[in-house]
Amino acid sequence: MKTPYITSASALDLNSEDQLDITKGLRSCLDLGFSEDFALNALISEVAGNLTDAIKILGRVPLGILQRAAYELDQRANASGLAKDKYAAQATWLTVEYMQKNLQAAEDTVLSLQPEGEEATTETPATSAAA
Amino acid sequence: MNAQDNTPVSDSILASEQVFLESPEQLDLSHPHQVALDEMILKEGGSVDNLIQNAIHSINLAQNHLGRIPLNAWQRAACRLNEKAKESGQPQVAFDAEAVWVTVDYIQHLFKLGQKMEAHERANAAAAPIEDKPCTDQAPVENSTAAA
Repeated sequence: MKTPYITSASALDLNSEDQLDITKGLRSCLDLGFSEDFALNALISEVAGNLTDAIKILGRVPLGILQRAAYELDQRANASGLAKDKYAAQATWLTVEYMQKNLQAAEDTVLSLQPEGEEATTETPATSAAA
Repeated sequence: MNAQDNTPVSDSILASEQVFLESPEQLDLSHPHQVALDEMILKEGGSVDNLIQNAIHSINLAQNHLGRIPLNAWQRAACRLNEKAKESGQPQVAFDAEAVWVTVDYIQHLFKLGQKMEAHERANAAAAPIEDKPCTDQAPVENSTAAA
């Protein structure tokens, strides 16, 4: 079974083979008397737990250091021309991009939650989760 | 130590304004963050190798957490949170949805990279001379799942 790649959360096809598989899991919750919303919330809780743990771990490494590691690995890959170096550099760079997107989303959310006229604080959901 | 206060350099790097990059080549080694990083490495007797190893270690640990949930379940959670965000109109729920979607995107890109790497390794193994190929009657070596 191959999970289809989607380009946005709203592009998910709930009738795809992969998602019907998830639905079977949800149905077992329904068979036990739980609601679909409860089952989906349980899935979201599990996702939130793992996401928070991952962000906490990555949040311990300052972004500047992650960027430097990606930069150094990229330089090494360019110098060696080896595929394994190239992939290591790309995997690290993907993580830098991921953390940048998280930080940007957190900053945007903090700004949108602030009452007008108040100055932005440095504490964001992502950085507070990582603390 | 920072010249202006007693904050350790590593903390000042963490607390200072982040510079976002669009590619690793864009990194400016003369930027105060990177100069402070070089000073920290020198002061603590470390090396760039250690820095990279520590970063890779953290990335692998984080990916272990993300990998505990199948991609299709991540996608379904992102989809549901997206619906909730639209229904509620609350920025906080929209942030939750965005954080999960960004993670789905990250995992998808890692999968694609892993597939490219495997295909490359298979092509290399097929192209290798017969004497370089592993002997099939030997016990298989356990594969490492290191992502970076």
